[in-house]
Amino acid sequence: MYLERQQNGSDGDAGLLRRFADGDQSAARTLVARHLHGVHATASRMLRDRTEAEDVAQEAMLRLWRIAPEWQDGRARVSTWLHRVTVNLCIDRLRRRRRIDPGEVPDRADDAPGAEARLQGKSRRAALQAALARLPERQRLAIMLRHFEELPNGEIADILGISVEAVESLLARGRRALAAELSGQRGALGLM
Amino acid sequence: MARHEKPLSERELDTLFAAVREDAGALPEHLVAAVLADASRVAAERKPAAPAARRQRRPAHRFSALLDGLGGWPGAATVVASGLLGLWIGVSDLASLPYLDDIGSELNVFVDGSDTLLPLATLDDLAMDG
Repeated sequence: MYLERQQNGSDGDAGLLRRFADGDQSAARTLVARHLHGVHATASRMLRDRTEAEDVAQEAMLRLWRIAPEWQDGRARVSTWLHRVTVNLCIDRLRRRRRIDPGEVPDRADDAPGAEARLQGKSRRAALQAALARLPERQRLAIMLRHFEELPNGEIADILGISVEAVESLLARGRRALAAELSGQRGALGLM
Repeated sequence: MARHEKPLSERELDTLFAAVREDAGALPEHLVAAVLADASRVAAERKPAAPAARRQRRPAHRFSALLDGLGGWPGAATVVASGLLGLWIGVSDLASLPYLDDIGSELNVFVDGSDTLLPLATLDDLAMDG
């Protein structure tokens, strides 16, 4: 899983960035292997749009390439920095959507829970994402970073720019809201 | 719609999250290719900047700059030769230079397109005559 790749590789990320800044393209390939999956997954879950998620993932990685020569070892973990950039890029896009279409982020037809017969496999993810979409933005972000990307609370706090206690509070409220929201869909979610 | 109104338990939620994590799709190959292409492009953009910066930081060689200012080696040779000649004239005793007194009297010029070769001294006379 992504967490394993991230944990195993995080110690060497700053060194890889230095090597990339010195012209070593193999370092770029290793960084892509370690981080692009997580960046793309976060963007996909936040935006629920394949094309936009790919655009954001590419942009976040591009920013990493550009900052490589100035990267300072003690500054932040590469994974944290990438997630922060990704989350901010996604928030920008979500807010732009709202300006175009005021109100909540619309649920897309292909993500909305349908008949129970079709809500298996992929539709379980769709049901959860639809419920997530109805959460307040920060609760949704905290839930996704904690339970999908499996980041520790301290890192989530860095990404969102809030305290660890605030992260814990967001997670608790988010989980309660999801539990209530999905209570009628146990069958569809494969929990029966 | 809902047959179970009781909220999901903590355990049910964690089971759901785990299932969704496992459903995570593979990375699109074209995205990986695009990201790596960006990395190559950024690296390539950075490469020419470094030697250029070094060239700008390096002070210009003074002799090269002087040589360029004089028009290259031929110009420099002319300047050196002129300097040596001037030095030689300066340190020499002009009076001892052979035939110097005779040179003026021997200078001849053509005047007004005339075929007549006049002695230099005659020029003064012409001027006075108008």
